[in-house]
Amino acid sequence: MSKFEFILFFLIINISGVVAQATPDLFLPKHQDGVVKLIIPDVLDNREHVFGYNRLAVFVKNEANEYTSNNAIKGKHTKENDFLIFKPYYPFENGMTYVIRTKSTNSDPYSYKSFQTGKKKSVAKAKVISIYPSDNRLPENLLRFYIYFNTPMKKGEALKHIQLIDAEGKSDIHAFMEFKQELWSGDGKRLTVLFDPGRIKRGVSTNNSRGPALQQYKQYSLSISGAWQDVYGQQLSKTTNKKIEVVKAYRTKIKINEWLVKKPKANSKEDLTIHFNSIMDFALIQSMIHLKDKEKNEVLGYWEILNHEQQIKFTPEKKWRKGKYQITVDARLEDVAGNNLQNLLDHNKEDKDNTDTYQFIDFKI
Amino acid sequence: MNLKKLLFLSALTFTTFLVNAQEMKTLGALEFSPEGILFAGDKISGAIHAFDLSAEKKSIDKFEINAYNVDAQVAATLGTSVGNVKINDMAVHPKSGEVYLSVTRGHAIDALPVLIKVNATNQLQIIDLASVKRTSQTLSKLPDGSQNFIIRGTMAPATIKEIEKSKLPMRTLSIMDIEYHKGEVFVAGITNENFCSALRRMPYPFNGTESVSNIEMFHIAHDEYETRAPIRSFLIENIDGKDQMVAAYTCSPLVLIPLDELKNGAKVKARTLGDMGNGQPLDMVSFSMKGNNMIFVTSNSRTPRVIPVGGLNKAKVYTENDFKRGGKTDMDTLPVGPMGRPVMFTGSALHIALLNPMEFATIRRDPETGSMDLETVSIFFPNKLNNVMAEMDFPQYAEEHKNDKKK
Repeated sequence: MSKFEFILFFLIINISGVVAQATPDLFLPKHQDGVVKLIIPDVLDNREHVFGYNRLAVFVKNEANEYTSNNAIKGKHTKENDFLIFKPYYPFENGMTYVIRTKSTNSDPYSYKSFQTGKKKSVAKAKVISIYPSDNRLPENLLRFYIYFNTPMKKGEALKHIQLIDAEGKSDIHAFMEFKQELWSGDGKRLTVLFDPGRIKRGVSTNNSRGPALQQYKQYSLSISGAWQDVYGQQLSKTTNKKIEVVKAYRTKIKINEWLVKKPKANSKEDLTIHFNSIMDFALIQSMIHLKDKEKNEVLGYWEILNHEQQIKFTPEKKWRKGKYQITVDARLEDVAGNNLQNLLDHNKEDKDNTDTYQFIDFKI
Repeated sequence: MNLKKLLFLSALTFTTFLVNAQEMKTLGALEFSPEGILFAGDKISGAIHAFDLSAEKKSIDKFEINAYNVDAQVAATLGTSVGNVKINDMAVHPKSGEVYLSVTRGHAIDALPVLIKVNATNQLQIIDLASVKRTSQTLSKLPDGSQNFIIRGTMAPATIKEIEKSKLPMRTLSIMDIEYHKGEVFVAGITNENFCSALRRMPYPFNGTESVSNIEMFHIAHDEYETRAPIRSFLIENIDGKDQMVAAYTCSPLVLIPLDELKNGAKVKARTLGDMGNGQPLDMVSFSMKGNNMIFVTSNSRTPRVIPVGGLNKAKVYTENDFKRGGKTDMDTLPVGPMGRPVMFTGSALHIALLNPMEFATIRRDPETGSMDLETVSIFFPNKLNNVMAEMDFPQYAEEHKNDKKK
């Protein structure tokens, strides 16, 4: 990169507001895992670890403005073309103020420049953001809840804090499946809570002895205790209650030919909407339904889940073209009772599965 | 949260050591073998990691280590603030004589493991963990992290700090101390059982196997047989003609456990030789003073003790029959047995190791300022003169005694 190109590049990134820059010889890290780069015009010898520190060192800013080899941040110096690069062994931290000490040539005095990689993130107050299914009217054979939190939660104690409580205030401690490993998303913010399938499946021993956890026409509440802590040790602060009114169990496979598809007009950007005839699984909707054009290419646009997971809406990026389209539904899509396109969650052994892995809804605009 | 950072780090570890499937998540208790293999306890991933640092050589023949405000120095080299670093343990390299620190940078899921060397010239160096050859032994039967301690009933309402203590997962006690002895690694800690106080032994080089024994002992101060609270620190010494563990518990019994009884699945009864007095032991260091083998024991709430190993030979074993029923304290009964002498110390000990045959390296809190310093003290005078202002500090005294040595 020539000096001119470099200055141009610097101007561009400066205009974009990503980097605050003092001298054009120095690149500051844009994020915590970033590096510090210094343009070195003269030839350096091979003892990188020696010249590296003298020419470019980074410190945590201190009140005494005392910067010595004793308090320099430790890391690796490397050289790439005209750049001397410093990468700390451990990433920079947002909220900390750092001081870079540089020398463009060996005869220059030291110059200092301070920077931050970003503002310190204050940990948001822990809370339940949402619970799915979002509707309050849910079938007797409901299979699972998804509970979303805004911060990662402490693991291994979920069932101590989650209860199914009936209208008399009695807690059903056997309602949910106890796993050795709780079902958390990678970021620790979504928990999947499964009802004990033994309670749901008809004719299984726990279903016979205890009955289903949810019973039609009765009311319950899913309670998430405010005493539950996130990984930072802060409590949820308030107990969250989701009211449940139990309706008839879902005892049919998902039949996509019963879905209502509202077609958009050609040459418009109108929404395409699909009304299901039951409540679908919130997580699976997001990956199991696709829209393709007649060349079998995915139509670009945005999906939105509406009406308590009973409806989805697609807004295209470009205007609809005239022609044939196809909605592709993966047969593994489940309703909230775990029934999919192929079978029921509690099917008889002799029930033959519908073996198509995909089903399609074709339409024309 | 910084998931990217964690992924990056684990990716780094994995690409360098595809053979080493065991993740490294934290570095706690440290122990060197005489060859320079550094063993480190990882309570989070549930493993003992062995780092090959055997190539290290002595650079300076004789040196002291004095790194004042060592926590601030560690924070500065890691680009963070003092509140964001915790020094977990300290060990001295048997060849170079330099000091290694296991450190945690950051908290909770943002925490990163760090290994730092304070070298012979008192400079801090970060060990690039990805470039050191590592093997690991996974530990079985560890507490899964779901069960915490309780708030113990006391006469007063629980303080904020007592409540914080009760929130610790039991897993935090899974690896308390590590010792290397004749080709084996011994680990004190707890398992996921009810009878959970445990000693593990595993061959090194690791071969994927470990043997786990459960340890019971008579606790003089509590007047009961205990099976849960783990050994806090231990050493292996030759006592009564065989290799035995000398182990210290909280509040503070000292027990013997013969190594030949540590078999997989065994329930071992330790021999209680005495009690050092109430409080919680931190470290035990073996050293030699005037030709006698001694043990230096530090505590988080009392002055250190020097125990002659010779006094543990043919020592009386205490049982419940030796005492009236009921708890015992410093105020009435303790210490009991051949527990040596309490000695002065250069502040409140946090970590200690033998730097060379004549000196200890210690991380301690300064008695006056509370600063955390890494300091070297003599085994004969484990204190520093800056802590005491005495007759001998007066100029007139020096004047009067200037000819003393000549006489």
